[in-house]
Amino acid sequence: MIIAVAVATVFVLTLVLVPVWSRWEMPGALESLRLGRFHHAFVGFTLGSLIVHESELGAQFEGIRNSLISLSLVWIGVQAGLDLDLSKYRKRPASQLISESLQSLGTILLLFGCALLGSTLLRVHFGLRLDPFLLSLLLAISAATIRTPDVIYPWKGRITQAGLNPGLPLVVNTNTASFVFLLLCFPFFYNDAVLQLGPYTSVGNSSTLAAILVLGLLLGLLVDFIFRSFDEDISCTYLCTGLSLVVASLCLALKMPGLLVGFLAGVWLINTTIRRRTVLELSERISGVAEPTFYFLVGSILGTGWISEGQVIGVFVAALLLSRLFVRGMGQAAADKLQNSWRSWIPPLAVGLRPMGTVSVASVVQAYYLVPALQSSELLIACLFSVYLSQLLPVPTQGDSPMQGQQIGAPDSD
Amino acid sequence: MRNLFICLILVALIWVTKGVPEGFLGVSTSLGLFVFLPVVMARWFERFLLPSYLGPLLAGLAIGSSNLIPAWEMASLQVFANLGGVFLCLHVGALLSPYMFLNQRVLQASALVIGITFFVVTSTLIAFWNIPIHSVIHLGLICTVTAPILTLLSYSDRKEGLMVSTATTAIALLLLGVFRGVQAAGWPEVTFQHVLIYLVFLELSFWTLRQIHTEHGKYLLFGSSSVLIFLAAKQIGLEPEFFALLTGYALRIRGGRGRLDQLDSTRKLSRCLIPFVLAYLAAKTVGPISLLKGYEWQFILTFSFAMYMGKGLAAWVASKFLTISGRDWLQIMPHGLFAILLLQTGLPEDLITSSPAAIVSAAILLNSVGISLLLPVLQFILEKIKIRRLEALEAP
Repeated sequence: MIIAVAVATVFVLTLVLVPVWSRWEMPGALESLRLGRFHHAFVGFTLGSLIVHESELGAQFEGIRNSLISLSLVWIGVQAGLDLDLSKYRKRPASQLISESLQSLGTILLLFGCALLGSTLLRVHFGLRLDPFLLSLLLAISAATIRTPDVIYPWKGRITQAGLNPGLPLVVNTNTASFVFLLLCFPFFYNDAVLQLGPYTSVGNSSTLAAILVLGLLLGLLVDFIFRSFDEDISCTYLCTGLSLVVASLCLALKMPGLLVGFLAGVWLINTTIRRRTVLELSERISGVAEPTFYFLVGSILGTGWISEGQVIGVFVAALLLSRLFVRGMGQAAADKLQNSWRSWIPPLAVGLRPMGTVSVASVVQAYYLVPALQSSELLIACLFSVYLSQLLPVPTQGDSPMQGQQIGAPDSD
Repeated sequence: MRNLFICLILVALIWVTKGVPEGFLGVSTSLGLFVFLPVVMARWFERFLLPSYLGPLLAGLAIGSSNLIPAWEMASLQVFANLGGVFLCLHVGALLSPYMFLNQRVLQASALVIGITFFVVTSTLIAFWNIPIHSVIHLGLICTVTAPILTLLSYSDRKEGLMVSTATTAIALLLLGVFRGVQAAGWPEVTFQHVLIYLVFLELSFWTLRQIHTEHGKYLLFGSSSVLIFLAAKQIGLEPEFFALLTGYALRIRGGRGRLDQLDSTRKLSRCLIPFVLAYLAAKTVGPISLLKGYEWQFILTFSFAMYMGKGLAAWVASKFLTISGRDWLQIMPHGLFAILLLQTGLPEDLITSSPAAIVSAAILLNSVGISLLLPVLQFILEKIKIRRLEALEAP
């Protein structure tokens, strides 16, 4: 009964809020939160807190929830993989790719160092048992990545999409570089996985890497086959979802990172499929359903047990955002100096204040589905607070024109 | 070949994960097979110019009889099949035009089909089988149900046939609901409070649907509504699919003359869900048909034969008074989704049988699969008869 009341309340709220949102020009901060799916996470948190009390339903829901979250992680990885279109990178000069890759790599390594320094405190206060290197790696990826599409909330003016001026060349995407780095380092830091699939058992870094590669390529291959065999978009979506659920469940059972499996699948798909435009269009439409569902499910995990650790969470959030601002800003400043394109501190500040997004949340959520699994939700709530706070912080733009804002944002966007 | 490769991969994964302790893995892998294989088989049948819904039915029967998926995993998939069925029926109910039931020709045709089929089936069962009257009436009403969704899938050009099939099924379901209510055996526990909450929910859904214009918003809302309807149906002890059908129809009536475009946009997803729901239903009811005894086969053949006789007689009688083509009349022959659902829950309790599931499986094979395979042949014969008559008329 309480579930029905809760869902009905959601209906009523939707009924009331949709016409309000469509007519009201929201302030930039609220619009930024809305784009960050804050309301979905909040609804999930509310319903999750209610469902826990109905134990039978809670147990059923938890089983389905884990599978759906794993599916969402695979999907987020696929989205990231679709950005790694090698044909576009081949058209750019190698020196530019190398310099921007090094900038991204330097940022991630510095953030990794910062996270490693704080990992002991995290393990003590949040009760985390995950390997400190692995935990730091995931936190570094979470801090390094930005929201996509790269929507910024400027100090003055309305929300704009920071992107490349069409005249400027394509550069290495920070999110893509983060995923590649995660893929390369993950097997070496993930020592606790024992792969057991039916009669087969395997332990070790190479088997972890092999499992990730096989699952990722298998998913990419099968999805490519589906797109070649079926013409209707909805049929392709439906079948790909079914297959992805299978692979996501395998990742969950084998304690493999669904994010990386999805990333590999996305890379394979975008570089081999003949229906590239259909894939990209569909992925945008699917994101409209997948992302809200992901935030809803993540919200339902949180519970209320984290409130007692509020102070520590606050310190973590502040430390994360400050270190992110410093490292990313310094990275951009160093790059500008080396390339003799330095103008002022505003571009590095803008880069440092770029909001975090879904990939940041997904990196931390992934930690909950590895070995040993995280139990408490403090780290997740801290990550969510960090993400939404970063989305609330205004980003300076050089001059008054949004186009200039786009030019400043070039190194971190597609 | 690609689709076959994917099916083989899925089957291999199910086989490998059979012994894995994590229950959800087996369930998810099985779900993947149920999602993929029926769609592929539907395409293959379509390529061979056969009704596409045969593919999912046969896929389900094949999966069920292969013992690849354990019984407890099949039971775990029930909730997904229910939710898929609810989504589908919500959409189908919303497509039903209230004005179809004001069409006199359609109503007359449906009344004839129901009346004659019911009379023939009940007479046959009473004459040859010693079954109590309430069970005979129940089975008689189930036999009058047709397959409008399957007709829509494979014979969408048969407009009049589709309307007659839809009206017949709707009236038969209504009569069944009333009969079960009168019996008070399976009447759901509905109070005035439930009815009030339901009406408020309908109104809220209607107004919320009208506000939402984005594609993902419609899918999210439909999904939430499906979950809510499923939970409510479980609460009051009603089959979720029928409750969703009723709700969808109520929304359609609430919409008045104008159709809700938001409901139309989910049509494609509904078509994708049909193979999954059909396959699961078929797989779930697979029983050891080979173990059916002689008298059980006689029972199945009796009521199936009586059903075809009744429907055929009704079509012949109606064709004397109504100008509906023979090919349209053929659409009332097979049993579809609703009939399969009813058979699963409505077999006569007094019928002594070692395996009710096997009886239902045999009934599906005969009345859904078998007759559907014959439909193209029957259509061909009818066309030939029509051509010969025309030639005879034109001959000097």
